[in-house]
Amino acid sequence: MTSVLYDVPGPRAIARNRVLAVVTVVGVGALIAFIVYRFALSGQFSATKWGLFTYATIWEQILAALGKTLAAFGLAAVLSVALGFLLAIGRLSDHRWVRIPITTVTELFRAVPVLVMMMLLYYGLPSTGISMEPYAAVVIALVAYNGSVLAEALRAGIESLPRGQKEAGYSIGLRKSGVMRLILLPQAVRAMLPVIVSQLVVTMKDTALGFIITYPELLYLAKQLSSNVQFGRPLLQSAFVIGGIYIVMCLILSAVAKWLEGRTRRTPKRPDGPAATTATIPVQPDDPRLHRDGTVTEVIAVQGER
Amino acid sequence: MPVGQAEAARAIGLPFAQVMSLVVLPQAFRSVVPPMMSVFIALLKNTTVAAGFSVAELAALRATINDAAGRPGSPMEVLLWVAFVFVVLVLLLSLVQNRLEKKWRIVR
Repeated sequence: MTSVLYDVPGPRAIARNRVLAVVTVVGVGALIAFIVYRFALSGQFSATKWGLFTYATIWEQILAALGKTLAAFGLAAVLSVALGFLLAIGRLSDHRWVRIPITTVTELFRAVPVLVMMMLLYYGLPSTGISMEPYAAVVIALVAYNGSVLAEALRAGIESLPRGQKEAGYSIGLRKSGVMRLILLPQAVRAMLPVIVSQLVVTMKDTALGFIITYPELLYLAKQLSSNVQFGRPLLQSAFVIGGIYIVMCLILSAVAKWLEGRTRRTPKRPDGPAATTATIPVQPDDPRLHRDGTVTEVIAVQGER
Repeated sequence: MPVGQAEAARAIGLPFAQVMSLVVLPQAFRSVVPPMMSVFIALLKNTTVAAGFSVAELAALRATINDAAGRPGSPMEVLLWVAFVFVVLVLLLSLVQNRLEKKWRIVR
């Protein structure tokens, strides 16, 4: 393989690269071996510590916590996409009294960390007389933050479209709402789908912050399990198991995103039926031009048909 | 970055290190400013997660102030101040972002 970026390695460079490759592999291998050795030495592989995960009741608890995580994520995802559309459209409004407040709100929501937002809702609001469930606080904080980020992504998508799209929409007689709904938004969503999905992955991972305001989701359960004295405080073990569940969820979401992207990118199907011929039609056997005795009239008639 | 940039740099005889430092990276930095700054902003906000692990950053300081004996006022007040500080910091970062974008913009 050749590359334009650097010279093709000569014999000395090849030898040096081999040495470097071996050193790297040995170094990484040694690091992994050291970690495994330390784990083994401190009894992280012992049956007592992993024994916690052989009980059905523990898995029932994990499933229940997974349900809580998914409940928060599902509602937050749907609502934040809706809020994203709302804020994006509001920010592109022609009316200043709509545009300026919505821009301010979007910027504020983007600037405040999700955790501070959750604390505001859960610890702060009760002092003003409104108390809310941890679930509501988690969902509202996630929606506010991710909604404003999605709004920015959608706005960037709409603004990246060529101006001719909007003008063409107006010229065929659509109104502002029609241009937005039928012309601009579908294209913006298609262009911004990767960003939207990666933001949804962020939403999923941010549900883990709910454990700080005592929302009993996966991480909260992991913390509870890791303080189990009877099983020798299996901190790393529960981190591995719960972390694995998070990884699997994110992978599933990415797979859904890839599938969705493939669907939207697919070229629209052509209508069935014989394809229109644009090339020259080859001469057929009955063509009068092939026969010596064909009259001029016959030739002209055939040419007229074509 | 079009590949042609690196190819052209190679064609005038620059070695790999100079292709990178003189041609490719200066141009790459320019287009990387907005995503890089949004990563920095996210990083700044994610420091609050440390509050869950008893590191004395802003969100944890809130708890300390909040639980101080004899402090008048409500928890809401402290939280709003924390949020305010973050808003100011993020606005500062976006200001830096705008400055950098303007400074490195290509005049076409």
